[in-house]
Amino acid sequence: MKIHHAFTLLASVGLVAACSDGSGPALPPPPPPPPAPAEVPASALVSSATYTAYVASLAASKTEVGTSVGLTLITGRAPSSETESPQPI
Amino acid sequence: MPRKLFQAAPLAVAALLACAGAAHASSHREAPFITTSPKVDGTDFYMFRSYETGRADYVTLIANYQPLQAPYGGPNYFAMDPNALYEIHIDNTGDAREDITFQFRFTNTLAAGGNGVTLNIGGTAVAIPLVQAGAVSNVKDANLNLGESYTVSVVRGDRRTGTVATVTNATGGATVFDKPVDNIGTKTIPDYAGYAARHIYTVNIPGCTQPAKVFVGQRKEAFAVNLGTIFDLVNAPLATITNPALIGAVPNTIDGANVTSLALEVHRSCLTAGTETVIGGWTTASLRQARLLNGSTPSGHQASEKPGGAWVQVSRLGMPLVNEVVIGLRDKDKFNGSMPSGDAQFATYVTNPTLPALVEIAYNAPGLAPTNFPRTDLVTTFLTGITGVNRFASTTAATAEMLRLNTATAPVPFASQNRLGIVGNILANGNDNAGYPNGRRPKDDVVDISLVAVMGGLCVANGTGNTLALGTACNPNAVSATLRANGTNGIATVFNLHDAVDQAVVPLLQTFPYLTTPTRGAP
Repeated sequence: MKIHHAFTLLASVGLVAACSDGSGPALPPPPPPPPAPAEVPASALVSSATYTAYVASLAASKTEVGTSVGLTLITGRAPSSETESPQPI
Repeated sequence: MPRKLFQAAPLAVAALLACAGAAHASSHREAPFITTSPKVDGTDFYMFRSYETGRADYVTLIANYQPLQAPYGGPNYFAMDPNALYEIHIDNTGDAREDITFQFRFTNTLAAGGNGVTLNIGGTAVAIPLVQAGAVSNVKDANLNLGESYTVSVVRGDRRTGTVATVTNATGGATVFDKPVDNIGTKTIPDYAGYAARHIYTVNIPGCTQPAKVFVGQRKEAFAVNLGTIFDLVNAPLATITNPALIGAVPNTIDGANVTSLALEVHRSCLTAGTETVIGGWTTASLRQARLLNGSTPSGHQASEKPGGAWVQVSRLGMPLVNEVVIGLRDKDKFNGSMPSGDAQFATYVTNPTLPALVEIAYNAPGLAPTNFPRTDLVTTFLTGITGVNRFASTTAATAEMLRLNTATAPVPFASQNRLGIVGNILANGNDNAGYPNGRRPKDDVVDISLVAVMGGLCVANGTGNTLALGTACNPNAVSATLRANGTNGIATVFNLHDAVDQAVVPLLQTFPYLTTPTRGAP
């Protein structure tokens, strides 16, 4: 029985060796990487009003990774106002 | 209750007018949106002449936020929101528009230049997970991993377009003040009372001739209420809540909870204008209109969001219990975003209140609710103030919901304060005219006072002769026979209404900031 198992093992190795040298069917190509998350456009950073309008315009999505706020906003502040009235939406 | 007592004391009768409804920290989680943002949820607002010895000429303003804090709520506990604007507004002309606004902004900063405290673990510096790295006893203690600080501004005129000035430390002129960390427990902070007291500052307010005091920090919840019972359709026998011997029959449901207080003590001359001695007050909290959640959250403290845009008000509180049990569910968010000057839109909730009808339903007692519509008694309490007590002198004063305080009414020492405010003062034939609804002190039992008012106590006092000028429809016959009948103490049953939890069980300080040391997270 052990000899049978040994031949089975050798046959399997041979099969793997045959596949690895490219003579068998090719593996499917890896899926493309997900698109980089969209960043806040510069036009949204002009004023508190444009920032509010941009945020309000973002549509809910079940597939998007999520919007990165961008390097500028990571370290800085989003446009804001101490005196403006809120924007109607 | 002898009629002549009320006829001779319109002040007291008027004092019976109080907010409707049972309360629950007076106002917390009271509107759908605010339940999503507890850090900006205003829970209580107190405004009263200071009763600390030597401070009678000062007015204390206490704005509480972040309701029902569990003392063990680590590891982050209850820092204030650095992306929010907290405000206390004062109207000193009676037009229901702010004349003075105190603004509070907070900053929460990780130690070590924003990187947080680290420990050398096997040769590598690793950030710790707690807000403290050891025992804490000092302001800016070196063992604090998170420093909480704030600024105070005073705005004169419109809160957004008025003139802004910075409140400064009377010693040294600093513009940034430290907030103590919450009461984590006795191993971290053995003497929390002493530690917190070191965060009381004497400050200069531009435009005010006298220095003021400011304190921001965690305090023990000062409100006592039979919370679950009240909201479970007043799940208590009527015989219990009308028996004066049972005012303390049930433990305070929210005992043990904490809250965050923004406390100011300001000379009354700084708050009033001209000869008018009455001021109206209310608190708000606002968030930025736009907020992006970072799809790639960086390291830092509260780094997940980027708020921007204009301020949007999301919390409002003047008189206790208004949004909780007066405003309809569909308008609670709207109320929180509104200003007193626009309160005509909510008038029906006051003139035709639903709470008495809900009490009827709760007790299956048709006819228990007062029948005088519109409820001019409640309009007086909520929207205009009481003549001779806390109503603006101007004949053009606005009809709007604010907490009104007559700064000319002398304060009463803590031990002599009547828990039923002016109502109780009259019933006891006492000398305490400084209680709710003439402002609000921590000791005033606004729940019981409110129950009396909403179920028609004022109309009983108004009598058939319209003694209090509340309208002829507001008379004893508008009140159910059950509540008109005298109780065992010889007083009309309506005056004996209570929620079976005595406000007096709450420990309080007799000095600024008046609310006491918070419940500790661990013994």
